[in-house]
Amino acid sequence: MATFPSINPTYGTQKRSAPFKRVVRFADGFEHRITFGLAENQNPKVFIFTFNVSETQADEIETFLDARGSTESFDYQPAGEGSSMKFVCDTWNKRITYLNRATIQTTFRQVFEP
Amino acid sequence: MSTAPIITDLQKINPSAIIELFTLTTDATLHGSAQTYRFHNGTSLNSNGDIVWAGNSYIKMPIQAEGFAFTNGQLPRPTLTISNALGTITAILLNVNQVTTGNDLTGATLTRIRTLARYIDAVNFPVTTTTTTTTETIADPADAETVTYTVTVVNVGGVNIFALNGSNNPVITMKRGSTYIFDQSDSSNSGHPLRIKQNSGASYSTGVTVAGTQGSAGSSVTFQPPYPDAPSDLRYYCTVHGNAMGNTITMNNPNTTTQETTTTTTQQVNPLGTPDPTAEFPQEIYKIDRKSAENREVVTFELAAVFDLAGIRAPKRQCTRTEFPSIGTFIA
Repeated sequence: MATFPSINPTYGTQKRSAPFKRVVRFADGFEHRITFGLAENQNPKVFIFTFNVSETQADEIETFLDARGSTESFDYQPAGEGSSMKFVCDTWNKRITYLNRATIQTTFRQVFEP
Repeated sequence: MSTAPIITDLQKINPSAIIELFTLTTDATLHGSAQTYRFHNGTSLNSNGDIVWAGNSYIKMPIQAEGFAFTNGQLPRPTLTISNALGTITAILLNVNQVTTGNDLTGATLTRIRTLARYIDAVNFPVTTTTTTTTETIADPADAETVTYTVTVVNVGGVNIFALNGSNNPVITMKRGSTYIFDQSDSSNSGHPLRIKQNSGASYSTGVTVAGTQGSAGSSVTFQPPYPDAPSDLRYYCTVHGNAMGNTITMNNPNTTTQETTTTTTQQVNPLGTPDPTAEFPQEIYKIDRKSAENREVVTFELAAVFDLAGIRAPKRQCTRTEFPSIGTFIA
């Protein structure tokens, strides 16, 4: 299992949670909610990271993500999280802001696999 | 299978999550061998491995079954959709079609098992490691001694006695936890096996190691009185000629030290409740009626109830005696 290079993103990381659940409610009535499957695995996180880095580091990130090809998952421990998680990066954008500086925007989607 | 615990749980305001499991059992005649494949649309919390239910592993696999609802009194024909992105199901289908051409798993049994997260096996949850440190008092190894006594048998006034290092049957002092070697290789020891016993008469063999035959080269009796259990009333004697050949042993305690032992135990616990492999919803058992789609992403099967297979039709409407009084009666 590959681990994301230890390059820190810039401030402004977004973390989105949207647990999967089944909800039954008719009109404005009472609502029932239940989880199918183990609750922890029904709450994948989505992180949006922006890396303001040098061209060298940008290449390192890009090479890493290209090698995963958005199918293979990788380990990464976002700043402030207690433990490492497994992610898949579906899309990433690289913008060369000026000479030798690049901005990479990535969306990491948490997956639950060995 | 028992629904009683499920019933109790479902009446709570906030029941535990539902775990849906599927088993696919092939038929020996139709498919070559009776094999059971187990699937679950998710992973466990133990390193994201396969979910374990009642001791069986359910392979993690995107799988979904829909259409179990009964509508208009008709038997449901649910559809089962399994991921085929990695070709797993194609492999099973090809295997089956080698036995019966064009079978496509028709006639295989699909069972839908549902249980609650609180009843699944403890192995589905992360391993917790508990470290306990125990402190015990032991004999200080620095205070231990190893003493070798060269044993000879001498005749004093017509009576044979043991002489240790040339001194006639002395009272000897020992420390618990130390090592004392009685070297009986001198030929005068022949026929005089030296052993340890309690004054009460009971022989004492804990920590006693005998090597060779007394009187021959290399023969010795090694005594390691255990700490803290070795009794205080021990003596050395000859098993043939009795207590008079030896004398008593004064048993002292050595200096002690404390030793910390760290033991690590790992365990897995279901934090949601108590695992109960019998607690499940009534199983729904269907037969695969046909394969309705197979593409790069998914394989879809149409399921039918056991008595609703192709070619066999349940009557559309039942006639009962309320509507037709002659049903079930003989006319004389």
